[in-house]
Formats: sequence, C-alpha cells, structure tokens
Amino acid sequence: MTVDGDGRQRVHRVRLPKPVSFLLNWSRKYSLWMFQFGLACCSIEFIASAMPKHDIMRLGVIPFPASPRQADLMVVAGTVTDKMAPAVKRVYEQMPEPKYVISMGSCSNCGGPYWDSYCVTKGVDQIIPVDVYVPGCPPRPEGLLYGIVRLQNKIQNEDIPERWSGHAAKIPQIIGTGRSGGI
Amino acid sequence: MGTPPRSLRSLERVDPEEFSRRVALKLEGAAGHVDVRFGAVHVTLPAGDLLAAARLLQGDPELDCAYFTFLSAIDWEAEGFEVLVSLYSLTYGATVIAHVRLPAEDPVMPSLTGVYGGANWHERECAEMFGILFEGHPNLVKLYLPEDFEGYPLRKSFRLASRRFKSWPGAKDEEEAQAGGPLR
Amino acid sequence: MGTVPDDLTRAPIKARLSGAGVLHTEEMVLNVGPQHPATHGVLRVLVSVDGERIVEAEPVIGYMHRGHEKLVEQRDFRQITNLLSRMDWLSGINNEIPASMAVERMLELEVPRRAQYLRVILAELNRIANHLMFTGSFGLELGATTPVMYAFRERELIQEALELVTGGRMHFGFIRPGGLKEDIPRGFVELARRGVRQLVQKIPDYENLLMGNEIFKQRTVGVGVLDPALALDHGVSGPILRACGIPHDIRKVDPYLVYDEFDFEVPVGQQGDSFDRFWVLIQEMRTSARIVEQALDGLPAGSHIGAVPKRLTLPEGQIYCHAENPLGELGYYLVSDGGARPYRMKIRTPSFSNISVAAHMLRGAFVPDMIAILGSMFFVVGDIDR
Repeated sequence: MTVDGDGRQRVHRVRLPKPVSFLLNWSRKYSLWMFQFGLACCSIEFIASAMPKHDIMRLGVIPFPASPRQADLMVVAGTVTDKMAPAVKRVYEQMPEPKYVISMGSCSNCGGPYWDSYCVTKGVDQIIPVDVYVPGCPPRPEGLLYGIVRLQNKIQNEDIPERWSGHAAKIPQIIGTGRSGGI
Repeated sequence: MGTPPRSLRSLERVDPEEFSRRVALKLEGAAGHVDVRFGAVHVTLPAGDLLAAARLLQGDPELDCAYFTFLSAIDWEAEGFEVLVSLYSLTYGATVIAHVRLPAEDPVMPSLTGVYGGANWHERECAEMFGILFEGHPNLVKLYLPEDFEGYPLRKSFRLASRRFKSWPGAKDEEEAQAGGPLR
Repeated sequence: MGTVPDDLTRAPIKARLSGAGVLHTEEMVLNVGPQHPATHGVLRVLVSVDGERIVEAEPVIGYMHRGHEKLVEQRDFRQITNLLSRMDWLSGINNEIPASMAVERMLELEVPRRAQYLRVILAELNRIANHLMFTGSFGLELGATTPVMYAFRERELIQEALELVTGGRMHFGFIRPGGLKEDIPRGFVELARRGVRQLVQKIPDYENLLMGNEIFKQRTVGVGVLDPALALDHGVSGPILRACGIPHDIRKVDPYLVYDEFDFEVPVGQQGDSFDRFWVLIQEMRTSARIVEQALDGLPAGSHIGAVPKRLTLPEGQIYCHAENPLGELGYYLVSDGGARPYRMKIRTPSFSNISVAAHMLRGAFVPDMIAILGSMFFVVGDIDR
C-alpha cells in the first residue's frame, strides 16, 4: 500500500501464490452463508431447495442466517417493488465484503411479467450489482442449485487482489445461455 | 357413500329475485333501480342515500347483510366514477352490490367506516387508486403506494409508461433474435 | 453497592423510585419488517409496545403491490390467467378458476363434465399443497424446525402430480375459459391417488408433532381470539372465519364447478384462537383428500374443453364471480365494455380482508404472541397487496 500525491492510499496489485488463492477461494465457495431475501413466489421454490428433496446444504450453502451482517450471499427471490427497493439496498449494504448476489426469477432479473407495472423495479440490478441471474418463473429448485454452482465456479476463479483493489469489473453470468464461460 | 353432506346453507335461504323484491321494498327511494344480474342483487343509489341504505341493509333482520365483501370503483372517464359496495347476507345467502355514481371532477362520497369497519382499508385503496374522497374516514392515507407517488393509477387517464415506449415484447424479441440481434 | 453519584443518568430513576414507588416507562415503537425472518413475506407491522405488551399495532402493506388490477386491463381474457395466478402464489389453480368462470358465465359457455371434475381435482390438490406450506411455516415460526421438512416432503409429491399434468410446479396457466388446456396424461390418476393416500397416512404425524405438543398448545390456545362479529364486519373468510365457529364455505353455500356432487364435511372450529385456526387447516387437508379420491373414482369420460370461440370478446356487462380459495373468498368483479380485454377487474382477495383485522387482534397481546397470531392468520403478501 502506498500514499500517492493526493494523499490517497492505493492498494497495489500483489501476486498471491496460486496455492494460497486456490485455498482461499475454495474455502469461501464451499461455505456460503445465504441470506434469503424472499419476496414473492420464488421464495417458495427457494425454501423448497433448502428442503430434503433438493438439499442446498450439500453444496455447502447454509440457508438461514440470523441477520444480513453474517451473510455472504444474498438471493433476491421475487418481485422488487419501488416501495421495497430502499430496503433491498439497505440490506445489501449491511452485508460485509466479500458479498455476492444471485437474482432469482424473472421479476428480479428484469421485471418479469410485471414489465409494464407502475410500481415495480424492473430488475434488482438497477439497485445492486448482481453476480448470477437465474431465469425462470419461478425457477425450479434445481435451477437455483445450478446458479449456486456457477457462482461457486466464479468464486473459484476470482482474483482476490483484483477484487480488493476496486478495479475488478463485475461480470455477471446468465445461466442457461451456455455462452458466458464454461463450467 | 357414507353420511349425507351436511349443508352449510342456512334454512332461510332466499333466492335472488325474492331478495331483490325485499330490498326494493325496504329502500323506497331506490325502488326503481334494483335488478338481478348473474345471481346478485344490484342497487343503484345516489351518494347521499348510501349511508342510510347501508345501515338498513346491515340492521334490518330481514336483510341482515352483515358481511362486507369489498368496495371499489370503475372509471368511466367523462361519465364519472361508479363506486361499488358489495355486501353479503350469510343468513339468506344473498349478494347485494350497491352502485353509486360520482362526477368525474371532484368525486366525493360519505365513508362507510361508521357502518362497516371493514370499509376502512377498502376506502383507502379506492382513494389512492382513483382519487375519490371519502368524507368521514378516520385515516385516509396511502395504503399501497410509496409516499411520493404521483397520480391515480387506476384512472384511465393514467398511462403505463412502459407500454408507451414498448409494444408487447413477445413477437419483437423473436424476430430480432432470429435476425441475430440482442435478446433483450 | 455504595451510593450512586448524582451526575450520572441514574439520578432521575433514583428519584422516581424513592418517590412514587412505580417505575416510569415509555411506549416504544417497534418496527417489525418488511424483511423479517418470522413474518411471512414483506409485511411490515408498526407495533407500539409498553414493555412486552402491545398497545397498538398497524400493519403497513404495499411492499408487494405490483398493480395487477391495472395490468389485467392491458391483456386479453386468456392472458390474464397467467398474471392472476401470481397473486396468491401458493394456490395457482384456485386463482385461475373464478376468472375462467366469469368469462364462461357471461358467454354462457358449456364446460364438459370431465373438465369440471379435473378442475376440482387440480384445485383440491393445490389446496392441500397450500395448507401443507402453512403447516410447515407456522411450526417454523414458533421454533419447530422438523414439521416444515415433513410438510415439504408431502408438498413435493403433490407438486409432482401437478407438474405431470400442467408442466408447472407453482404457476400453471392451465385453466382456460371452457375447460382446461389439455387432458390429463396417462399415469396421473395413479400418481394423484398415491400422493393423497400417503398424505392421509401422514396427517396424524402433523397432529401429534404440533397439536399434541405442550409448548405449541401453550403458545396458541387462547391466543389471538377473533370475535365472529368483527370477522363478518371486515369480510374475513376461509379457514380463519370457520375457526371462529361460522360455517361459511363457498363450496357449500354457493357451489361452483361440481362441488355439490361430492360428499364432504367442512371443518368448523369453536374458539377462534390460533390453535383452532391451525386445527381447521389440518382437517381441511383431510377434506380435500376425500374430495380428490371421490373425483378420481368418478372421473367421467369426455372432452377437456368445450366449444370456445377463437377470439374471446365478452358482451357489455358486469359480473361478480367468487370461489373458495385455500385462504378464503377470492372474487373477481369483471366489467366488460364489449371488447377483448377487461375494462375493469376488481380483484377481491381473501388475505386483504383477513389482515385488516390484524390490528384488532394484536392489541393487548405479548410480543412473542404476535408471531403466533400473524403466523396463524395464513396470509400471502401477494394476495394482500395484489
């Protein structure tokens, strides 16, 4: 870290040894604590994915933390209305770094069936940055599990110094198209 | 097949025609505006008579409309608003729907909260969606919409912004996608 | 302990304690929600508490208001079913049925008996799935984490059967004016029968696990008693109304589809407290299972849809069509101006009226009881806010 001419601290790019970055990413991707921001119908499929038949815990994801301050992953499941949007933003800001967001369902992806409504935020990515979009109305629990797997791959391939330096571009992945990066 | 079905219908069940005659008799002023449509009794009233009619419908033992189903409105644009009040009598199994016509400018009518407690939330919703003023309502503030929302959404004059700039997206996306264009 | 220095903030309390002998307290306004682990969805309750006792409670709704009534005016009579299914998201089929019924009554369309029977089967299966969800979530809110696992196990069976027919697990888009979209595939009757049979075997498990539990009983018996007169005044319907002792079920008092051909008892409670509401929910699952079995036994042959014009335009007129949703009375007041789209559709949802009495029920209760009361009100926020 150095101090430049304006007095600002700058984090320089540091090369982490590969085993270290592998280990850090591996441990982070398999211990996601998922904060469920269940708003509407998708939250029911979300709960179903946490139940014995689909069992999201086998991916290392624990479903119900007590508060957003302890969570790493926020799954926005359901329609985000204009009245609810400030609350979404506030909850996102309460989460500590590193934090990830999955947008589940078409309503939070882009407004969905409510694309022409007067009080719906057309996509939660207007308020917070999203890492993985899971399409569906509602997506099957298996769809959410696949979204989690893609997020885990993204975390595994993450460059930690890049993330902390603030220069990392948030490149979201859309599952189902098969175009934005392989498994 | 086992025990015969225990009917929940009251023994005093009255058919809609008979009930409409009862209503017409009790509400003398509205005698010319009572009819039966699709099994429900429809009553048209001026706004000033609504409170008295509601009290009668609720209190009279031969009408006994104790159940408040809903209150809402229809925007007929230049012809004004039509406020609907739907009541139900559990004793006689009859639905009564009162229609009140209001002018398009400055729609005002008395509040039913003194007669039916359930009218409270319904009137709040009607007020914020149509801009109708209910006199005597204890707390006529917005129910659904955020505080800074402007306009009355359910009025016909309120156009949906997304529809103004975008036609129904289904066909458009298909054509563009096949031509190699963006999917959004 | 020594003497307390006067310049500390303890001094005023010390003075009051030595004086009147009564501890001075102030009311506090507590904001529960809109995002809260224990409230069901985005319902916000502004609670004014005096210690542990609630003085005033005001539910603040609108966080899931999506504007359904405006949106259905832009879509035609077949497209609206997809939107209407998403209000009460746990009862997809039941939301679509009154909309199709309204169109059928205005156009005087003939619906084949097979389609009516299938509609009843799908509606009752959906009712079971809805009640299972609330069985699980009510236990979860009170601290019991096992019943929700059991409830979802049975729910998966029901959803499998519904998926076999409609292709969807939660939103179906299957009920069309005149009948259904398609006929049932081979294997559905056995799957539905097996699912229902397993459910009926497992219901005693729910009863013992929850209703037989001493802690559950202490938290729900006598808690949140709803006065029947207040319930009628506010338009409360469904299991909540029947728990108060009022036997009002639209399937019996105003039968629609072919409900008058089946033999079933509607459970009616006595006290109107949280325990009774839950009891009614469990017994309703048994009733629905009975109806499904009778319908599967007596399923007539025939077509799945009647003769329906390609383009649906309704004559001018107004109709109110209501049905017994799992949560209560769902009604559509359809106003048609002779076009292909509804001119106005007022959607009367059960949860809206049910939650309007929440303020009265929460008054005077303890804060932990608030969770028991709200959990037992069985609402879906999409149904309140539309």
